[in-house]
Amino acid sequence: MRTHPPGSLRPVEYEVKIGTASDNIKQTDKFTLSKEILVEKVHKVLGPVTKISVTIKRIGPHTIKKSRISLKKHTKTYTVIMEIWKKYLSCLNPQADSLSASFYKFTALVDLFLVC
Amino acid sequence: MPKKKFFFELLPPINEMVLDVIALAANKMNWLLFLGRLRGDFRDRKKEGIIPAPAEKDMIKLVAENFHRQNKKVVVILNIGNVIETASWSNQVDGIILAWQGGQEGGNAVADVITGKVNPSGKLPTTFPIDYHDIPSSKNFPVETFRGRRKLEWVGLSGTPSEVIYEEDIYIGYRFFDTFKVKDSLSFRLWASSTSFQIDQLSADTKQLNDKLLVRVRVTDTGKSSGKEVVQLYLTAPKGSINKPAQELKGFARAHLSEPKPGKVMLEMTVPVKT
Repeated sequence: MRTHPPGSLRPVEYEVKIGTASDNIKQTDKFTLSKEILVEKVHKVLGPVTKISVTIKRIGPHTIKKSRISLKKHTKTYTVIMEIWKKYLSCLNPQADSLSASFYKFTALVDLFLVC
Repeated sequence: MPKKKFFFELLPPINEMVLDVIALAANKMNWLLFLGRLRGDFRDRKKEGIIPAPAEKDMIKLVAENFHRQNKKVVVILNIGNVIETASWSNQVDGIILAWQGGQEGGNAVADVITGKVNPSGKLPTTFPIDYHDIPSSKNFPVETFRGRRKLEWVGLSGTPSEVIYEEDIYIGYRFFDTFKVKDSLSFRLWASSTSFQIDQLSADTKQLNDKLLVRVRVTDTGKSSGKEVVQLYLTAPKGSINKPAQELKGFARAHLSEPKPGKVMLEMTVPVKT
């Protein structure tokens, strides 16, 4: 593949193509330059050489409990939030729902309660 | 229809109506057959959505056979916003109109094209493959979920941890099909204008190359009616130390040649360059 290093002073040839689609080229023209004009570099982050390891911390009931601290039990706000949460869990299908579907259901429920 | 559990619940699709195609074909009308797909954000497409279902293919075949028997035309209108497989059925119909994402005026736009009020000149923003597996990313989609990881059920914004490797590299869309000479299904020409154009007198001005590349081209309407044509400019760069596609789209310009004298027009396109 490699014919010359980029940016070298060796003459390079470009081809201009005109058409109505990439597979329907009508005319072509060539021009030669003293060096390559389009300088491109591949950043190391774009070329993974090792398998990417992803670690996701599980946010469980503990986190949920922490978020409840400011809410007094048996208040109206507490009841509404718990109602949304219970409803959300009841309509969630862990086997079939994608990430977006889960989010969609949650936002739909919040919207519904806000309207009510 | 089943009752919704909550306001935004997505209900299952309604079953197809039973068509009396033979009776319909006996009428004086030609047939417009709509093939649609849901489009939007928030979810990846499934392979099953790209390949028409057997019921859809059967419907196209049934309608085409019965209407052709009565010497009538069948046109499929693709009400889609992304690629679907067309190679297995496109030769059964007389025409295909791609409505794409026309919004609330989409219906009027399609009607204008069908009645001849507008001469279509749109271009596809993507390549339609012959086979689903011709798409390079088909090797890596849908994503591979990590085995042994639990689905995160407690949080709304969560799913099963998974990974996808973008193995196709820079060869996305036409860059892949052109570089590796993979034949595609629907060529851009299928939605061509009802008139014809000639493109010639290409000249590339390299005098001001430290700033831009100026390309001129002449477009002539050689047909009998007016129309628009989008001329595309591709550039093939010399092979260097990194992979490059066979050609890359660097610019485009639209030629509008109207009646009574469609005539000729010179188009100029500039490609910004960096030395």
